[in-house]
Amino acid sequence: MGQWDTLVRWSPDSRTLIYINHQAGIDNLWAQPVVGGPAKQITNFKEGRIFSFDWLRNGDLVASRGDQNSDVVLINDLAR
Amino acid sequence: MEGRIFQLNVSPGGVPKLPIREAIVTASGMAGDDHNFPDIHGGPDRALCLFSLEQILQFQSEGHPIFPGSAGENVTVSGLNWNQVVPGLQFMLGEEVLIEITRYTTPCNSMESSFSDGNYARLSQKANPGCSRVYARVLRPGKILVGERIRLLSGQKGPSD
Repeated sequence: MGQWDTLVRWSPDSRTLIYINHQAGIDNLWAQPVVGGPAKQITNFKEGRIFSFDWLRNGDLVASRGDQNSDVVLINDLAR
Repeated sequence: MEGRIFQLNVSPGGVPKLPIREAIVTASGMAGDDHNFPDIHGGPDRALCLFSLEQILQFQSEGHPIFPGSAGENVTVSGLNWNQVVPGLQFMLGEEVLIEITRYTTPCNSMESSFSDGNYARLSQKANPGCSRVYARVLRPGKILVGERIRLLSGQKGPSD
């Protein structure tokens, strides 16, 4: 576990917790419904770390990811 | 007006500034951050540089390779009406740090790599109002973390409030 694994965010409808899952040196975002049930993987990055993620006002989920440098990846179909 | 700290960025000098999870902020700026040309960067009135995530995404949608930290900002913020973040306003960063916006940041040629055509004047407040990074002085030091709130200090009003 690294320092980047500790970020957790509520979804805009407060029904889901989004968190960073770190496996084999690769970060992806997962969603855990608060009513229970299995967590769902919502990104499928094959490399790199996730430095930050958050929702924009328009409902888009944005993640900043990369290795030494960062790069913003816009994920805009999660909350639709 | 309220937003959130999306990313914190530092470098030993130059760009890009690279992400960190948390930072100690003093009147001199963010611990671990430094500048290549201290005569034009840094100092109490330029202790922190802030920029808008939404503005970065807008530039990206136009095809530019800009990303958080590539334009040299220490604090990438989300959720603020960026054209209302103007000199004189005071913001709380997280629960501890109080800052005052001092001025718009003058872009320099180290920003060329953030734009596909090298035209860093897109970051100029004069050329493109509302698209500039801003400098801030630190009125109250402390610790800040990615994800913490940014809020306009009570009693102040933005330009169009």
